[in-house]
Amino acid sequence: MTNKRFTDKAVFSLVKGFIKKSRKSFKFPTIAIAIGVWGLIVITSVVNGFDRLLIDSITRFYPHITVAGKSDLYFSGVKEKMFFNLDNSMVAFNGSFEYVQLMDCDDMSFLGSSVISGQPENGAAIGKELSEYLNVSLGDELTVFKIKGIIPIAKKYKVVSLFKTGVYIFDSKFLVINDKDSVKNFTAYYFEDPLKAGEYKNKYFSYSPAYTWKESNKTLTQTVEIDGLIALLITVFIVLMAGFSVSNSITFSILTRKKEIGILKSLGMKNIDIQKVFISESLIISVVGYLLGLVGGMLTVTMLDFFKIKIPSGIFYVDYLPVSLNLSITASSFFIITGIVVFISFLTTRMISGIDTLEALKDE
Amino acid sequence: MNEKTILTAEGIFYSYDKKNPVLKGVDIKVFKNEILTLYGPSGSGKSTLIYILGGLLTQDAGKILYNIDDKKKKIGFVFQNYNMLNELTVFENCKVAQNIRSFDDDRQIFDYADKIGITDILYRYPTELSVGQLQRSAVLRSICGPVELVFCDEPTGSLDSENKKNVFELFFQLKEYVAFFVVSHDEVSKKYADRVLNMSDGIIL
Repeated sequence: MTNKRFTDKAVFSLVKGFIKKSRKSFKFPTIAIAIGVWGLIVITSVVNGFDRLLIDSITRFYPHITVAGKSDLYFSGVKEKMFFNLDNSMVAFNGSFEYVQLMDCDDMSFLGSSVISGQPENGAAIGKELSEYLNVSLGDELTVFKIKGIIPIAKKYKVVSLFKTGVYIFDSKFLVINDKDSVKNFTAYYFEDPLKAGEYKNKYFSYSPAYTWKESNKTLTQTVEIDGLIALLITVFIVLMAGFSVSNSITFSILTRKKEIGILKSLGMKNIDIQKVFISESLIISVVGYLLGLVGGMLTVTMLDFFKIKIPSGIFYVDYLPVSLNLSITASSFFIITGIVVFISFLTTRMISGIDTLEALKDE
Repeated sequence: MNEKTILTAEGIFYSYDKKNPVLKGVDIKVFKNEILTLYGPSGSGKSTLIYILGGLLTQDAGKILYNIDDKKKKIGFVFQNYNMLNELTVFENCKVAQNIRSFDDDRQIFDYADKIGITDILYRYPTELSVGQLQRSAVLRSICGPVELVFCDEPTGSLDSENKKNVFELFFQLKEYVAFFVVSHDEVSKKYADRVLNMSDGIIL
């Protein structure tokens, strides 16, 4: 057996003994890390939930790529294609009116899962928020005012469908119609994977005026980016909190176990090996704390997902708290937390070399 | 250096405050398998000397020659207040001491424990032991591994006369394996020693 193997055995026995007999002193830092990880998982899951819902809602409704003119291009990855116009219009019903984005398309089937009632064919599909504002129901006739040149044109459309995308701006400001007589000026592409829109744009539409759903909905997609930044900040704070909590507990542990350090030094143990004992303890604290936090966090996320906590829909674009576990942050936080804890533990335990053996042996 | 010599120290000087020397040029030799008692009043520099010889302190002047390789692994200590690791059982204390000294042999622990008469307390924690059992456990731990020399700092200081006698009898039994350098101001220590040196005011008389 090599010297290192012998030392590792000694370190293992010491860690096992210290943890077994001094469980109480490990409780606080373990709980601190568990709470931090629990909070991290819940908060990032809510942030991620909002982001995913927002992206899902946008991409379920809005064309993933809008190309100027009529494009005949079709390639692998395209789920649906349609031709459409998008104009500013005014819609009126029973004396109420609202300015809207009028989406005139040749095929309304893209509304698909957003439809909450009726059939989106031969008429107008109206967002739920807009229908409530105008007090419109299925079968009612709306008057739509469009400007052609400088002349306003009024045309009546029967409400055949109500939709709800989950994005307030779409549900309150969009009216989708199917006017067979109009000439369509844009092509809308919907893909199997909307996140590939940028890639497809560069590959197939680099020479035509084309916009991805991200470029067309900058305000909303910027929200997602800000959310990502918030999640990162939360992770940084929690990692720092975990690091300092463990550093604090190690400092306390070293100061209260001076005598044990003196004994180990008198037995001939090297400083670096004594450091290993304390670093191993902090590693165990962080792993146990992380696992407890992970279990707590996942249980909370599952419960939030199950109970669909109500939130004010006027402020948020959904009426319940959306949650979606952020696997990359959850997994990477484990490595970051344990890495930081080991690093801070190493720095903190360097004080061991400064402890005088004889002074430490006198410590009670 | 004679092959029977474990260590030779010459002209050892030491001062804690760099003003008042505690050791004033100590010369000493320790032989294999002997019990050497350094006798003297408190404050005479006995403990300081063994801490220096054992490598827990560094002398201001003088030289120490060891006739053992890797001295850290072959030197043990027994302290007046036992200094056992309370989080580990007696057996684990011994095992850790062995491993630190790059040694691993349960048989050795059991054999020594049998000789010392503490086989029945090997799996108990130090907090559950009497002072006599504690001191025996500390002696056991000090000799576990490839140890050849044990420094004992007032090993009987907190024991009653019966236990004092037991500890020195124990050293006597174990000297076939290791040499004991005992620092004491207890008269009993002289009775079991192969050699007795007297120390006073930082000088060996």
